[in-house]
Amino acid sequence: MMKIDGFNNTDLAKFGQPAKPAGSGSSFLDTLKEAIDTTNQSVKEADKASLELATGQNTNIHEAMIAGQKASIEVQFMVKATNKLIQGYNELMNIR
Amino acid sequence: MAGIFSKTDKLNEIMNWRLNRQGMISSNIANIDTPGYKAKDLAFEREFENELKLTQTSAKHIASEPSGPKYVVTEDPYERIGNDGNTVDIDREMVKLAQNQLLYSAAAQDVARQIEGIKDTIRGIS
Amino acid sequence: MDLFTAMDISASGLKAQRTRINVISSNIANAETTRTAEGGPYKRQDAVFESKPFEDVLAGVEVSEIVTDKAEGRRIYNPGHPDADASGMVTMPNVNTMEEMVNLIGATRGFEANTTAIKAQKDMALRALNIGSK
Repeated sequence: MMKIDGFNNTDLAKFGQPAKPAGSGSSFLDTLKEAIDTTNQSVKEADKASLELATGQNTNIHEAMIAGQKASIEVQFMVKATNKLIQGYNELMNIR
Repeated sequence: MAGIFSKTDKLNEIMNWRLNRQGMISSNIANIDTPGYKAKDLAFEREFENELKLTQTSAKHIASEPSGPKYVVTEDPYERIGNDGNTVDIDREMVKLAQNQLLYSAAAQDVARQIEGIKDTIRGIS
Repeated sequence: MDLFTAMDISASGLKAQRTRINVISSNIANAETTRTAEGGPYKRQDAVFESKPFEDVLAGVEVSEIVTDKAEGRRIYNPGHPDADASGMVTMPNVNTMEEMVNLIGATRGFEANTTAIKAQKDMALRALNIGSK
């Protein structure tokens, strides 16, 4: 049986997400969806910080910069994670 | 994602402190000749961390982060006080100014390095 | 608190010290003025500094008033002087030039310290911006 070399729960756990045990009732996809929602939230907050900086409403520069970088990293990670997922799925489909 | 940003968040906190401290130092320098003005500083309150530990061990309390910044305003000690009651020492303030500015910049560089490191890690995921 | 507030605080320092420098310069310039529009010799002035509250405990500074020093200046014997009185005495301005010079140095130093503070704040702002530059 071919080993699927792809994205799995332990990779996700490395980045601070708790790995959900099999059969716990929530799927791997639920975990991923949660992560995507969190990422979207970070992007929204970073955009808000950026706008407030531009309008002079909140000019804590370093905080806005850091929020922006964190959001950017989270998005990058999500893109890679979903790519891996799709890759793994395709590999699985190709076995049949 | 929380785990990988813990050091970045800590640096963010330190930079917030230094930012606020800059305001304090600027106030002292602006008031170098104001009668009765007492020089102040802003200390990073390490005792807050102990307070947090106590909160967590008590079964009745829900462990929560102390809200607001963890710094405390302190009055600068002085050896001599001018005739007008002013305690600002210009030389000390200039040293504080240079030090605070430098360490804020150092933290900023640290953050940039952290970010770059995390980005590298992610780039490494093929 | 942000760096722009710090800059405002330092700017208030610049303004106050500049006013003080002007007042001291006027004293020095009039050290020998025995006749003024109001009559009598020039009387020296002082710029009174007062804290100007910003946010929390932060404070800038402002000149609350310019007070005239009412002390009488020294009287010298000079009967030939146009402002000499009946006994040949002339009342001089109450300006001690040496003292004014010392104050001027202090005010200049204060002014420069605020300038350095603004430079520091600007540097910090630019460093913070660099975090978001890649």
